[in-house]
Amino acid sequence: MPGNEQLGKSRRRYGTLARIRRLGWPLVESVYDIGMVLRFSLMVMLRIPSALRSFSLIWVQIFTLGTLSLPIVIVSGAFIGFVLGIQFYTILDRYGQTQLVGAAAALTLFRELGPVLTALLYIGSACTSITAAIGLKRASEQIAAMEVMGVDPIKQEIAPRFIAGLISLPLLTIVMLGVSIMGTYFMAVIQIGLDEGFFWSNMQRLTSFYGDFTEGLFKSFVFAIFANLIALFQGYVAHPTAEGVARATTRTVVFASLVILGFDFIITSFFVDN
Amino acid sequence: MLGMNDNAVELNNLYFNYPRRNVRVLSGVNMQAPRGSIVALMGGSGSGKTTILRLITGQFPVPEGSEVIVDGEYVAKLNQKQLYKMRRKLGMLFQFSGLFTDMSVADNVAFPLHKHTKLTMSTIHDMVLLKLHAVGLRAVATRFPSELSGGQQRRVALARAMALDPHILLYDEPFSGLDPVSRTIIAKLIKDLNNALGATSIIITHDVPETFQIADLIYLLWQGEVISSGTPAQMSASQEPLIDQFVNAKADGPLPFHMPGGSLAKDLRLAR
Repeated sequence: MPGNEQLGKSRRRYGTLARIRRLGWPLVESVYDIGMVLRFSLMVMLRIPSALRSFSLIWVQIFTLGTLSLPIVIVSGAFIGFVLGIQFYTILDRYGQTQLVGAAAALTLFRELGPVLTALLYIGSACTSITAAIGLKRASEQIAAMEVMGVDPIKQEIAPRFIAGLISLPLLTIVMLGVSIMGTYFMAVIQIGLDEGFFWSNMQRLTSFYGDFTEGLFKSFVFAIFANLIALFQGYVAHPTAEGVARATTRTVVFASLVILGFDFIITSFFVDN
Repeated sequence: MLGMNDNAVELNNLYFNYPRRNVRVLSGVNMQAPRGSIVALMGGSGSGKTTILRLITGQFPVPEGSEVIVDGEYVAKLNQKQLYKMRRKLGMLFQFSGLFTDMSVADNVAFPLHKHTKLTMSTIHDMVLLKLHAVGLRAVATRFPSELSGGQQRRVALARAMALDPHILLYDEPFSGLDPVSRTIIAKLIKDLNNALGATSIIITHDVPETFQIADLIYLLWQGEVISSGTPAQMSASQEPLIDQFVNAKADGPLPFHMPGGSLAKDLRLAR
């Protein structure tokens, strides 16, 4: 009888053996989860070549993930630029170096703030929508319908979003950088009245395309890989209920933000060492 | 000989436990769906009906010692590619329709045709309209699924399920949540489509009147076991208390209302 079986199990929850089992169980679960993540990531990577062949699917996702994130990136970029203009002016004024405001803001933005803040904004606006969309597609049997129709959902739904994310986040970062530099310019030159020539010439002299700009872009690309994979995975394994999708969305924001901040530290250390 | 027999779907000694939960769902189910027939798998909620469908479609792995044979192929032996190929012979109607919410009705029906055929756009367009006409919904081709009623969504999903003229049609609770008229329409469509396509249909349901009207063979499931099988006439005439209770929807009988478990007195700490 299934009933007796279940009753037997509930009894076993209190034994010594059960206590030992409880100790080991989180470890087994963690290994299982890591395996799931790696398997999912591998499946996505393997589907990239075939997904690239149907670019129309990717194009739609670039609009959803990238274009629709533009307003928040532009507005945030402008405000970050304003704040940097004020802060660097106040700090550098103490040392009589206000002509370096443009260069200091550009270096900070290219190497750190640009990629990290854009990634965090992208997680909030695009990654949450990825998790919710995939989670709801699973909850409403759309993913199952694809599987039963003999259509691979990883190729149809997951890989196009992943590729679109890889394209969108670095582009959004470039937009963020441009807007925030202009924000700093507006604050430092137009509002505070610093010399425009010093502002631009020092920025040009002290920042390098291959050192600073590409480091930021490289970071952005790495962030895009992890943020999108986390969002897609959380949506794909979300429990098919409203609570399940809600929790998956929260997990996406928490895990992706932490992973990005962690990788920012690792990549920065690597670049500084070299 | 495999492939020579007359069963479109065959389940032999099917056991299933959900991974990580270790709860037995199916305990040695045997079932045959003869070609061209409509077979109904009936039983209360939680009796393992939907799990059987998922095993037939290969969404769940077939456990060792169990056999799922679909159109002469052992599902357990198929690799991913072969499994997707096998699934093209199947059409499935999902409990919640499973329509793609980001596509119009016509695009939903066209989806399997785009994916699995090399037909021209204009041919696909005509085929989609014909499929939608067959379910009476040609007029809503340009609408989105969210603009349709539950019954209409189910019919669109049916049009999509038969887009590739499948050999085997699977229906997961096709009548649940529908008004009586929609239920009758869906039942009639299932019967007509089965005859028109020369397909085999497997219906998972607990709706007795509609199912008894159209099914050729009925399997009654209870807690993961087939407790009875026969034609609707045999089931209706049966004096077996279990079947009588289920078919006539009686509250009292051998089918327990409570899920099996420990005694109430024990749970309330009134007895040791």
